[in-house]
Amino acid sequence: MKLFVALALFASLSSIALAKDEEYCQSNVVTACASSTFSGNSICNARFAGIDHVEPEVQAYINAQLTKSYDYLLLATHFNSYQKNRPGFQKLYQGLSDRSFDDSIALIKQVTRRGGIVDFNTRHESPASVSTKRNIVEVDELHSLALALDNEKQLATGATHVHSRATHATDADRDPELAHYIEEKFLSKQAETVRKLSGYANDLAKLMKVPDPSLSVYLFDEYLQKQ
Amino acid sequence: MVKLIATLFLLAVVAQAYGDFKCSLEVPEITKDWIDMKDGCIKGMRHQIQEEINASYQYLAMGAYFSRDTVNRPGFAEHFFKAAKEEREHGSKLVEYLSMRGQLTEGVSDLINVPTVAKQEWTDGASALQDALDLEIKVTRSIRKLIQTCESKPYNHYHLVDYLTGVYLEEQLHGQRDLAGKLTTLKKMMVTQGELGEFLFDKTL
Repeated sequence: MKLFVALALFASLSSIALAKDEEYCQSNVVTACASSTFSGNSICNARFAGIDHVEPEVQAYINAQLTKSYDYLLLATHFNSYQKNRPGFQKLYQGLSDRSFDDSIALIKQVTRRGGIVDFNTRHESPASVSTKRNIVEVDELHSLALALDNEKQLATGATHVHSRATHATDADRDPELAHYIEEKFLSKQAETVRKLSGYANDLAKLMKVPDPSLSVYLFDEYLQKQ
Repeated sequence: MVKLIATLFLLAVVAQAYGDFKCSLEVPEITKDWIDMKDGCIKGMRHQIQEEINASYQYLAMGAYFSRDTVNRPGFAEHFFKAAKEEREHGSKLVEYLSMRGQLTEGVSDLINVPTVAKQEWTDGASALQDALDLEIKVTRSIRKLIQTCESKPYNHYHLVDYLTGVYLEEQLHGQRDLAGKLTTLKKMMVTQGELGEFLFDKTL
């Protein structure tokens, strides 16, 4: 009889343990409804698949995008001074700045959609993060294209890192939904931008192979304005 | 001998002209008499730009908090994301103003620092709206101080002061009124109804 009781107890305990894992939300509701008050902040959550595993990477990546959006804003500002007076370059970098800011908001929405949170203050060390130490933005036209190209590659590497964290993990940590999101919204767009900037840098470098490149740079800026 | 030296010299000049790959162009000297903004006002503007960026960052954190699944207030979240974009826009318009006045030919790299936020979690929607109102009050005061700096003797920056008053203060005052109205309505709805009040209010944002 004692053995039977012990077995029954064991069975019921293990079924509770199972419920904890697979029916987390339901068991929380059952517990809350059995007690007289519900005092907790949350009863359920949206977290599934590898969110625990990728969340810090996405957080780092959000901070990276925000940092770059300010870098680009200042680069655009540099070319907007009367001494530089390059509206084409300004337009290019302002566009990249706006894009990074909008992408940050999109990433915040994505990570919270998956039950994650965002931490704006802690900088998690990850290949998805970038240094907050700002590059000197007072550079010449060709140099600025090189700077932007390196930036874009860093951001593409960051997205690739988030993606590989989401795909190459052990079963429980894998997160195809997030990987798909990064692929669809980031990777191909980034390939496009990297290619575009590399093309610009190579074009401008070729046009500048003259004794006085002022006119080449002027014409290239005109071209950028129309893009 | 003279001929040889002359030829060598010519060659050197040609080599110089064609050999170097020159990337940075000369900045021609032009008159700077039109650049008439004074240091105190410029410093104030630079400070205000950072203030706007800080406010934008704080709003982003609010948007992120109300986007959480366990908080789930999409109306609040959208409101704050919109505010974050607006504050950033305000900052960058001030930057453009400085460029228009002949400033920012140097010292651009340290114009904006990536901010941190004072708070990332709120107890409820009302406390976030309260914080948003406080943030706007802070920005408004900072603009008023900037206006005082820029219109003080001996040099009155009429144009900038007009811009700050007509565009920035205008937006601040309307923004404050809007937030105060929202906060009052929400608080009324929450007196007896609490969570239900906040739930319903969120859907109206």
